[in-house]
Amino acid sequence: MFNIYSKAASYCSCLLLMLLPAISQVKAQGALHQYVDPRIGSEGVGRVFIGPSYPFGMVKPSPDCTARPNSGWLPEPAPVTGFGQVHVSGTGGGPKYGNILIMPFTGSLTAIDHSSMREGEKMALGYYSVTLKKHNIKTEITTAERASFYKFTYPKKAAKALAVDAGFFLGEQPVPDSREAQQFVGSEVEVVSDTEVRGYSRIRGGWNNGAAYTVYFHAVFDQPIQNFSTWKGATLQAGKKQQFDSGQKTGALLAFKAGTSDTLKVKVGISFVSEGKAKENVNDGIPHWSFEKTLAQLQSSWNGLLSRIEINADATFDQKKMFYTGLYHTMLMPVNRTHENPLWNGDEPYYDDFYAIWDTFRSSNPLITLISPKRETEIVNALLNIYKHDGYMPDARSGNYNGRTQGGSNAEVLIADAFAKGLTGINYNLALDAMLKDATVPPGGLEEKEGRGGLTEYNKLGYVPYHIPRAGNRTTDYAYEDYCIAMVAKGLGKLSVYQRFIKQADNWRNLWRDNYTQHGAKGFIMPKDSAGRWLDTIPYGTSVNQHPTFTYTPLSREYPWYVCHWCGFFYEATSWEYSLSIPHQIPALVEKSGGREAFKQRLDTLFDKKFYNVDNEPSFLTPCLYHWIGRPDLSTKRIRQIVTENFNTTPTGLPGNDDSGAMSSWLAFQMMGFYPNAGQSYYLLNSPMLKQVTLHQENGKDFTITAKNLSANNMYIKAAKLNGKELNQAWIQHADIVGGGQLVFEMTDKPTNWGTQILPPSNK
Amino acid sequence: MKKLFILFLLAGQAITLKAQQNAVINQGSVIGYNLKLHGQTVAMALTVTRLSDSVVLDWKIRNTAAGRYIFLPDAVIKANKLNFVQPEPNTTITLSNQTFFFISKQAFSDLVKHKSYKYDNTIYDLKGGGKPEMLTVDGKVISVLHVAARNETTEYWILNNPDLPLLCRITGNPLEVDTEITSLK
Repeated sequence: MFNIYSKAASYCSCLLLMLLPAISQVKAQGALHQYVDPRIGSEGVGRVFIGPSYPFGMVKPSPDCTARPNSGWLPEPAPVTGFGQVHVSGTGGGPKYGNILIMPFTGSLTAIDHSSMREGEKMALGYYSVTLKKHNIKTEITTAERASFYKFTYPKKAAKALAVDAGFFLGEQPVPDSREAQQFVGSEVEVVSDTEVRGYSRIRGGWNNGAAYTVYFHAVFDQPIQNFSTWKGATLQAGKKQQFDSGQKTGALLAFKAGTSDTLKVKVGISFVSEGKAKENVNDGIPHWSFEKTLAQLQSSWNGLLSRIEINADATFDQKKMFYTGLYHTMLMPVNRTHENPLWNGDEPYYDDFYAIWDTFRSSNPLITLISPKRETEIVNALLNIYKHDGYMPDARSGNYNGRTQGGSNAEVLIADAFAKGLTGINYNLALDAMLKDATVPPGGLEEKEGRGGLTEYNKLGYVPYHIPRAGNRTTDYAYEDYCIAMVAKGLGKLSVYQRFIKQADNWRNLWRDNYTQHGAKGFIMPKDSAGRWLDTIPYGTSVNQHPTFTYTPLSREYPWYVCHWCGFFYEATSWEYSLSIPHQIPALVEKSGGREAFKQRLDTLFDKKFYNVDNEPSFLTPCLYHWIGRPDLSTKRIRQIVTENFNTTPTGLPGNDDSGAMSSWLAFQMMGFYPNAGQSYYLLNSPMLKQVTLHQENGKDFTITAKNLSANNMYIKAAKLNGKELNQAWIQHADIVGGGQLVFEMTDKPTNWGTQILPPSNK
Repeated sequence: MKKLFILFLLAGQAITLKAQQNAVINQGSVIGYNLKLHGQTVAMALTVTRLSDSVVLDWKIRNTAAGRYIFLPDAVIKANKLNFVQPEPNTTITLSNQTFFFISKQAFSDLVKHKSYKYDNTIYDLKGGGKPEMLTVDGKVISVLHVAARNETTEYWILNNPDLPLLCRITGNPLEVDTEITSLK
């Protein structure tokens, strides 16, 4: 395959760059999809989706290797059960989707299951192929936005056959109504003509315990069906055209004429609205039978977005892979289902699979804002669309159903981020209404679905008491989101709203235990009851003779005993981490920790003693906190350490669930040398890992970051210039980027005084 | 004669208790429990890693948290308190005067001899006229001694095994940790 980044080609493109800047950009970036490696993060804890997908694409075809994995795929030796059409990427908890399974086989139409071992698996952006060993069938997959495309190559003169399973889904468990498991509701299949099969699969539950969703399909074949059987439950019926929905699993076995061709092409249109819409999606999305053309269109679509951020051509191959795969992962979700909403109609943007905003608000959405502010505007408008019709914005949503909340009502941060960064095309008055709904109206027993759990107590006490699940991070998250509300209200001139919520932004202090020390660190967010007593002073139980107290320390993950995964004081982190998660009042946090030196020691202890958890999102900003004590060099040192030890180009190259690109977007930012404080308008500057990064923005203005003399040793910033003027602070505003220009760093091998005096915003 | 009869009766009961002592707990045994605490049901497994003058129990809860308790000989012999503090994951906790999910040999001896024992400032009396009860676990029948707290709501079913008198069932625990043995391997 031609690689434009070969030495010669690189030289040529440099010449073109000099001569024809506009054309060269397209040419130089034209093959960026080749640097995307879907295997990165696919094994271990990363759980990324490995199949083809459009950016924010609704259809995500992939092998389903048993019903267990979240993304569908598993490494060998798991067998391939079939190929499902809808998946998610990087998620934890119970699986979702994995609907409408197709599987090629040879021979007679007598068995439903054709699971097979595999060999020769290949993955690239937009393309997946594998040979199924059981019947020696090569399977290739690409996709359109709403229809998948398969090419099966059978052994010569074999009896070509295909199973279409409308009953399969991921996460099925033997225990009825098992929590987080998907549950079967119904399915239907119909052989419409000798080249068409349609039907649907209706499933409920999954990670967000959502209501039933329906995936409709319309599959078309490039050659006629010779004969078929359909099934319902365990009964296979030869020649029966339709199996209607009677609450049982259905499917079809199709035999195609032998001898005419060894290949079979299949297009599967998908819709969440109707079979007719699924047919339209396949006809509109792939109005031909060229697999190559479909693949080329998909690659082109990705290249258009990937080329928005251009990195130095002489970056190493691994750097390019890590960076562009990071961008790719960031744009897999949420998925654009505009006009695919079964709950209400309209032309407003409709996105699903926010999985979850708690994960993505910190880095994914800010990165999308830089790559495509129009896309982020659509996403925010989709949240408002959901608010208008469902009553609350989601913190997570999948299968057209809000849930689950993990802590805060973090959609508010997306709105504040959009507002602070000046995204246009958003009704911010409506957005403020949506934020205030979260902050003032309890969700009435649906706290796991949406809104703010513990809101009544929070508004009354100024904190969420410990008996309410996730009281700790709910309090810290709500305090930050109250700050976000205050900022939007202030910007809209709604001062009474501003005054209320800017006070509430201090609420994290109500759980701050000033005199508690551990490992030399002073002050922690700790659990309290409604009466204001610290948890570890409260006797538990009703015993007459014994009066034990709870054990709780800043390193405790769960209390008391092992309550459910969602019921601890903090979600997926400890007090060591969450006590540093106060993104709007970091100078106050420094002060409460005992001043700059004590804060430095605290951060050092966090990292050196491994209390920092790289595999989850609550600490994403933490390595940058050294900036607020005038030590950006230490931020850089920690970030380098984290990246070197935890990220690489292997299948296990992500240290935690990618969570819809959250982990990958964090990496992409750090490679570029800046990191957002989501919800606010500035970025912290760190030493880039790439010599040059150019943002080709939608507004037509380029912003270039150049790191002169960057090397493995020269990792510290000695001086910086922004558009030719000296820049002595380790942060810039979003407006600086949007306006276009040049940020140039001079790198050196020792920490310097650069960025030590003018600290990042304090929000006082 | 009456005294002699009582002596015979006591001796007979002691022999009965001894005869029904359960010998299925060995080093390496794995005991499964369902904990019912704070409105939830959580699976816990205890592995008897050492059973000698000291006892080592490895625990695992919901397959996500695990840790170890070491009970020094003093605790195994004469502890008089149960530990109901949340186990700390990835940590080895050494106890010298407390037990966890079993009672000390001294307490068990008191129970057999006197039909009562004192633990956690609470007196527990043997129920059922002093006769062991039978619980079926994994298809196996195990002999347990059923006791009730005198001025609390707690009831324990204690494995009739002087080497390791495990708590097999807890109900009415005012510390809000009830349990039921679910497997024994």
